[in-house]
Amino acid sequence: MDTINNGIRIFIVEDDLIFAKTIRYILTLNPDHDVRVFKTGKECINHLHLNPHIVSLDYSLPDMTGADVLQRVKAYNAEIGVIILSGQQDVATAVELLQKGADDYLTKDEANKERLFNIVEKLKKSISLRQEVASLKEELTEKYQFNESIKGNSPAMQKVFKLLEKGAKSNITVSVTGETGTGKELIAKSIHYNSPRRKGNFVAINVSAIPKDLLESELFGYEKGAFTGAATRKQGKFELANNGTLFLDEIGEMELHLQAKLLRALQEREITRIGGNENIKFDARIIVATHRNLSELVTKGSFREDLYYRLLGLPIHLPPLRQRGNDVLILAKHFLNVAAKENDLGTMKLGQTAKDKLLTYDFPGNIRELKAIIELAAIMCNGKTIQREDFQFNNPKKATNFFLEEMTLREYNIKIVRHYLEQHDGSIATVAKILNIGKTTIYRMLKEDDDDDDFSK
Amino acid sequence: MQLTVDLTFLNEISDGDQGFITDVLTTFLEEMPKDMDHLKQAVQASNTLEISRVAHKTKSTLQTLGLHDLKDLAYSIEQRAKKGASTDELRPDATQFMVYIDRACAKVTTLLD
Repeated sequence: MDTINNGIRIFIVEDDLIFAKTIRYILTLNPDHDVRVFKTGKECINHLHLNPHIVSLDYSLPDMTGADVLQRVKAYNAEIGVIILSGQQDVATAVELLQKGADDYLTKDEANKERLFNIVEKLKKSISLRQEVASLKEELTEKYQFNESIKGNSPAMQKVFKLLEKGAKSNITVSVTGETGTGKELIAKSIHYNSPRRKGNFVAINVSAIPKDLLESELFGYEKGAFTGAATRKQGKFELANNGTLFLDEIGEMELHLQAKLLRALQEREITRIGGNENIKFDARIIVATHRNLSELVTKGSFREDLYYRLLGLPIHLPPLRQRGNDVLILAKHFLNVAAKENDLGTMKLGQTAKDKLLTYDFPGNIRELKAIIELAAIMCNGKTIQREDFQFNNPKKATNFFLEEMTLREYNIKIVRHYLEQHDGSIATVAKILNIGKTTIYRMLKEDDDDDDFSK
Repeated sequence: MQLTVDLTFLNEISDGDQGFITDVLTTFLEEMPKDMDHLKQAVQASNTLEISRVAHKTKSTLQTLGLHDLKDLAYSIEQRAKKGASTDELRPDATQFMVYIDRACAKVTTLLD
């Protein structure tokens, strides 16, 4: 459909020529309106290729019923606004057509100048908003093209890209796992905006971020008066995600009683609002994410096994940044370009010392941490080239959690080695000297650690 | 039966645009006889569906020209036909309707002179 900024095309479908002339006269008082009259339903349908924005439809035509014409118009393009014109005595029929998808109705004895203009202006605003939303969704689709939104050439990410394509093409439930900061929500959005559901809504909810008492009403909605404070009916996330994607982040944090309700919703593909009796069907793809090991939670009894298998679907594991090799530089350059642009800093680049530093740091906060470090460095840097001195590593996990976490002696050893490597720009020779161990021992420890991480996937 | 042609609505929407009003009245004189021919044929053929359709179609025109009594008669014929009245039952009103329309056309012709 053409944008309405270039004028509005209006079809009048009316077999009463005098009434049609009257309506046309009124509507063409606005020079932006291009108005055409058709005496039959078939004539209107044969001219839909002219892409009208609005169709004014007499509900009773000589060759077709208003309901048939409405159906054909909406099937051609659901965005076309349809106004039903009926006699005062035929309001019931007009209301029936509203339920079948008409946008508004007007009785013929009310069809004066003011009413007609109001109704057309209302439809114009609605069409304009719909066009704006469609345009924004297109922009989002472009933004979330896999190669635009997700950066990286490492073998680990190549595997992820292959799975993403499979996920986007199908309707399967996707479970995304990975440490905090690895970009799980970005993955979910990319799947949605590359899938046939991209015109629907992407609705995200972080299970761990919503107070436990509120989570059920957020997911399933509620009826007016369902509980104190429920002043009006509210749709839940399942309903909002209808025809789109529902992203349940940190699913491992969901309480058992709610897991049972979630399982029922996924099995039956329908929900019931809190305080309501009506079963409401929904059609949404489900993507879940967690930084926890769900199978372990199942073993511990804090996650339902049946729900686990229902949600597993296509599992996508996001590797931690420290296992993505040179991806850290690709991402760093990307974040630097964005930060430089947003802060009017001109073209900036990473110096060799900065690159070396990034390649040896283990990024416990993953991509989120890298982004913060780069943004700050771009601001702190005095020139156009970022050097290692411009970086500030402030991850709170590092020192404070060192002895708080329960680890094996071997794991402590590796942590100590990585700590010193970070302090000394990845120089294995220097660290070997400080710790009084052989360089080969360090290589072996690092390799074993990486192998363990691969295995744990 | 009040058969006064009332142009208030047409004057209001067109701010008294005489060209537009003349066009509407001329169209009335062209279209109404055709509709009445269809109605006459429908009555002769005992086609109550067509009787209902023609009556329905004329309603908005009659309202536009302020012929409210005639519009009510058209509505009555349309509804009775829809509810299953036979042609014999509809014939008297349909015939009367055609006569009134003829008179209304004469009045419109006077307005155009």
